[in-house]
This record gives sequence, C-alpha cells and structure tokens, in this order.
Amino acid sequence: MTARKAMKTAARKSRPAKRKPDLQAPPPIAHYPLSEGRPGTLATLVERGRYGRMVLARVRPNIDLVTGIERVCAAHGIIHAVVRSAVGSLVDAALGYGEGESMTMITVEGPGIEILTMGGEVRPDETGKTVARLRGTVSDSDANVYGGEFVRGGNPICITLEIALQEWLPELHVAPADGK
Amino acid sequence: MRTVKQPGRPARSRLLSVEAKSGGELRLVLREGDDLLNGLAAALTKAGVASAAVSLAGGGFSRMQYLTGQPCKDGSRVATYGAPTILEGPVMLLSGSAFLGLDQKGMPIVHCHAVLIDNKGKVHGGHLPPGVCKIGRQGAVAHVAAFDGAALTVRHDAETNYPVFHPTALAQAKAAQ
Repeated sequence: MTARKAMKTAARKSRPAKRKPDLQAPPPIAHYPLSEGRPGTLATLVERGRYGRMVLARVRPNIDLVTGIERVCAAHGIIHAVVRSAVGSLVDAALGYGEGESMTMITVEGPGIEILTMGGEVRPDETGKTVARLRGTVSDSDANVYGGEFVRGGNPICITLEIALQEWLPELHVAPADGK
Repeated sequence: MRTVKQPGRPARSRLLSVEAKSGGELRLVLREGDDLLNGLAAALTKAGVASAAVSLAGGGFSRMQYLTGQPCKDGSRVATYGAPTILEGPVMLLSGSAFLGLDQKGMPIVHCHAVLIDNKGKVHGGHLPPGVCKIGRQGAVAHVAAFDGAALTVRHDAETNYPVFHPTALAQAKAAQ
C-alpha cells in the first residue's frame, strides 16, 4: 500500500479532519454599519433590483469551484449574480463553518464527493473585486452529509460542475430599511 | 488543492459557458406515485420546457434510492458510483438541485442531487437515479427556471470518460436576437 493510499484509508475511517483554515479565509458576510438602535446587529439592507441574463456553465475537472464561478461571471461581465441550481462533484471538499477567528474548516476526502445543494451570491467585496460566496451540502462515499461554506482554493471539481447563474441588477441607490 | 489525473487528455477550455434569457419561471407539484426524475422530465416537456435549472423545495418519498461517488478502482474513470442506498419511506426531501436537458438521442433527461432525511431522523444525500424515487403522500415541489436561447445537452466527455451536460447556445435563438 502506498503512503498516499494509507493516508486516505486512515482519513476515511476516522472523523474528517477539523482544523483552522490554512487557505485564505472568506471575507465577512456584510460590511454595512451596525444599527445604532440595535447594537451588535447588522442594519437591515434592502436592495431593489431585477434579475437579468442567465449563464449556463460547465466547470471542468481540477478547477476550483469558487474561483471557477468567479471566472465564469467575469467572462460574461457579470458582477452580481445568484446561483439558480448547481449539480456536480469534487475531488475533495473544504467547507468552512463558524465565523471570523473561530472559523473552522472541515475537509472531506474524495474523489467523487457529490455536491448536493449549493446556494449563494456573486457580488463585489469592499475593495470592488467580484467574489462568489457559496454555501451548501456535500456527501462522501459512505453517504455522510456535510455542510458549510465552500472555501476558496479548496474545492477542485472532480467530473463536472453544472451551474446556472442569474445576473442580479441592483438599482444604484441603496438605503437601510429602517431609515437610519 | 489536490488535483487528480483524468483518464483522457484534458480539454483546453476549462470553463464552458453560454448566456441564455429567462424562458420563464414555473412551480411544479409532483403527486404521490410519480417518479421524481421521470415526473419532472414529463411535466416540463409537456409544459414546453427543454432545458431548465430546477430547485427542489421539498417533498417526500414512499421509497427511494440514491448513489454516492467513490474512487474508481479500474482506472477507467477517476470516480464512480457505489451500490445504491435504498430507503423505505416515509423519506423527506429536504432540498435538491437538478437540471433538465437533452440526452444523446435528444430525449429529456434530468440530473439530480438531493438531501434527504429518513424515517429514523438520519440525514442522507447523493445522486438520485431515474425510475427509483417514488413520491409519497407529501408530493414534491420544484421551482424551475427555464432557459431561452440555450440548452443543456449530454455529450460524451473524453477527458473524464463520462457523458455529461454541456451548455449549448441555440442557433435559432441567436438568429432571432
């Protein structure tokens, strides 16, 4: 048995490894000011807009899920989008849960990890760079189900990813719903 | 990030994408006794939809089975499906993702993955094959985004040695634009 096989076998039998993310952690969910009236909560943000073009894509093997979707959007000049459906598989999965300092990453070893559900958005971050934030569920070869946020750089496509993204076209003016 | 060597030569283009216009939104309720995948394909075909993104909002099965991936030992492919997990109902459909497209003979085909909870409270999930997922008394609800101007068509992919959906621009729609 090769070292790699031995490592994989050990990983399959034990619980999946939990460790702090060693990859670039995703940015916080929102960057809006905290509401004055409700300390510690995020001010409600209402963004009016409409849905635009749809993009159907296939991401080929060994491409990272998150950056692959960002590249698909960039190819069509799309800066805001939502995932309408996604079906595919991963070599391995890297899923984050918790937030900030306590964010933890779970890794699930494949190949052949099935992506069961995936939802999320593509939109510019605080620096103006268009980023995908994607969460969902996967299953391994023993039919165990895991969930979390797909960590950038940690989710290589195995056979294929089929995805439908729909462009979101926000109106320019954005104001908090509570008027503050 | 670990990558794997596929059995075939890697295709040069790693991302395939086409734009489509919305071909309308539909809500679909499948009834008790229907098969999930065949029922979806039949209902959408009848509604004039050939390719669509499907989001399963919930439902139940009286009996169903699903598959999960595992490394392929004979080298013909990187990953393959293991033996099906068969669940006796009532099995609740928690959420699911699917696509409707056309197979290599031009017939409707659905590719579907879903998360489920069995009658003992254990969560499951995997690839749902056609013909073996019988809808139970709860029915099943799907929200569907149809595509206009583009389709998903199954083609054999030499790199992975699997038939898979490929996004395809429809020439007719292009001409109409």
